[in-house]
Amino acid sequence: MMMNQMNQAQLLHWIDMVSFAVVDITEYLDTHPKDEEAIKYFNHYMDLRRSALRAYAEKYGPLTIDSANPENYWSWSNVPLPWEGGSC
Amino acid sequence: MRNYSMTRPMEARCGCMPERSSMDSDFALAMAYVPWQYFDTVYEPDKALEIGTIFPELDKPFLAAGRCGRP
Amino acid sequence: MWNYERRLEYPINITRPNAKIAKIIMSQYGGPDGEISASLRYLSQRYSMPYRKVAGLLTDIGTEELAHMEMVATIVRQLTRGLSAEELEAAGFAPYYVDHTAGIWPQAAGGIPFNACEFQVKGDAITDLVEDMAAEQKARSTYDNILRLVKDPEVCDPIRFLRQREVVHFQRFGEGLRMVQDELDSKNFYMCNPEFDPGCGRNQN
Repeated sequence: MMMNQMNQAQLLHWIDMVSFAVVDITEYLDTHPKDEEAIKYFNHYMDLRRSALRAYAEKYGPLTIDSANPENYWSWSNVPLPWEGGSC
Repeated sequence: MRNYSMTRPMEARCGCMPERSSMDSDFALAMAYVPWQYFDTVYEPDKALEIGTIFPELDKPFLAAGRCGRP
Repeated sequence: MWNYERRLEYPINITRPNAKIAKIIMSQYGGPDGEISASLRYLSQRYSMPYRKVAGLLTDIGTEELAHMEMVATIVRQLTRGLSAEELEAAGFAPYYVDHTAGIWPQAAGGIPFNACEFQVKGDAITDLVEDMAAEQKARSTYDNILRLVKDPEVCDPIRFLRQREVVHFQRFGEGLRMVQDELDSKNFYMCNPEFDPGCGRNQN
């Protein structure tokens, strides 16, 4: 599914998936700094993560300060805190 | 196919498996050694997130707890 | 330094409160082998680690542990949110409730408050990495114990994720220890402490 077809929950799930790939490969690269396949993998998922964070910020408000822009910065304080899920 | 090695990843890629006796002499006593992992196959990102790692060779689930949720 | 990202590393949405299991899971927040202990351990050990790649590993894993601390707090919060005082008492949660209501405070399931005695920063590269490997195993075992008691999939899914991360981190710290070994003389790894003794490296004589 293309990012612009995803709803908010799907886009957040996509961000969770590609960001987790970045986390796991980052720790692998910390102990295997010359592994070229791993570096390619990192670059691939890092690109996907950056685009996804930008796309999310445009529609729903920024998840990171770096993906905030002047038009939507004020919504940083309105983005739900991560523990608010579950039943209300 | 092994995706770990007691020696550094580059040496392992030659495909040669160290014999038991030479492996013993490579490793000094009174020290701990975890084998080197090297990058091989990875899970797709949705499965990786669900499981908690992109690396199938590190996927070591707890089986003594009985079923809960995921089959 | 740190930035913050307004999402959990793994999603948590618990719709069925359960203070009884919250009491147990709390140990992975403020207990001796929990995520606060892990993050403070690694983030504290890194300052005196003389090998940059290993200090980087301690930083990256320590940072991930902060995200795990947040996940465990979220699980405990969602398991106790909205319950009445009577419901909390019936679940055996009254001793914690009287001091903290339904707030999140770092203590072990048995009541011992989180404290720095629960982790070590020995200032020795080999010792600290072996400490870290032990810490990951202790955390994994604690998650095993939690999994034996949890029946709700909304709870066991994030717990299983957290447990799997401990296995991966054990592998990484083991590799970090191999990296430290490569910097030292294998005829006697213990002749000096590279974090403290000048000239302590592979070409000692």
